[in-house]
Amino acid sequence: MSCKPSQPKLRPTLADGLVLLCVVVLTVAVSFFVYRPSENTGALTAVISQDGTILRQVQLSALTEPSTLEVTGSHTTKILLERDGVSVTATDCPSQDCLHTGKITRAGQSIVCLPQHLVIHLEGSGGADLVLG
Amino acid sequence: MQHKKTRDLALCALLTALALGLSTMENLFPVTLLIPLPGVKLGLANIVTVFALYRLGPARAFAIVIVRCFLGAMFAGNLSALLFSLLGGLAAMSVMSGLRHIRQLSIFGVSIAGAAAHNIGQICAALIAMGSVHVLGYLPVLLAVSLLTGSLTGFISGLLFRAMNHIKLSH
Repeated sequence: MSCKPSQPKLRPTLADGLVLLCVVVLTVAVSFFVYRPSENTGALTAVISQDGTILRQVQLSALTEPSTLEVTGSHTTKILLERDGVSVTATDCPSQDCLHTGKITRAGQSIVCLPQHLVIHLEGSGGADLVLG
Repeated sequence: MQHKKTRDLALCALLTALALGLSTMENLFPVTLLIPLPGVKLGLANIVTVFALYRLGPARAFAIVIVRCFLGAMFAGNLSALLFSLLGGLAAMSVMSGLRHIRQLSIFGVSIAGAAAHNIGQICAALIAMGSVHVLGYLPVLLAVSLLTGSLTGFISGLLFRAMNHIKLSH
């Protein structure tokens, strides 16, 4: 089962451009699918779910003052809910990615914390157009 | 014959260790500080996969990827990361092992496709782990980033192949 060693081309070729183009097309296609412009209007609703089940659903435009929410589990994460968006303000999970994501303000955006299986997602006024099992 | 087998084993072990070292090193300088998304990495371990694919063939490259993922998860003490690195690593491996037969493609095209496949594999892992389609929102950004990281690892692999041309690995 010995395999004959092969040598790749080392200089970029035209076909590489084709691969590049494919990835770009895929990127645009997926972002079109994920961030539909119609979702960007009206009242924002923050949906906070863990392990695929919804913990809380908060209509942000109905908030009179910013409120905080603490999600506990394998780690503790503090979420700040404001009229114009949602952000994670503190977490003790190792990656801290959700903290670095910053504030999300548009429908279709989400903050994901992998270690905690936590997803914070913003939805537009049209409500959930993707129904999860 | 026995001699060759031992050399092969040692080489695979060395490459696995190298891949592990590279991914550990990567974690010391997280790109996520620049691009705050989970899963954004330079993917330096992919250089090892590319090298092993061309020089040792898919069977050994596959073995190296599997062992690297398991040991990496063990060292990190994080079993849920195993699913991510396994799906990512295997997706990249399979795509690159197919594309390497297309003669028109250079190391850059193969690496970029591998990096993109790695991210798609990781998003699949996230879909499974999180049970939420919203993780798909990260895919466009990850794919865009993979164009850069894929080019980078392609470039480094190119340097590696040039340097290794003067060194005979097996036989």
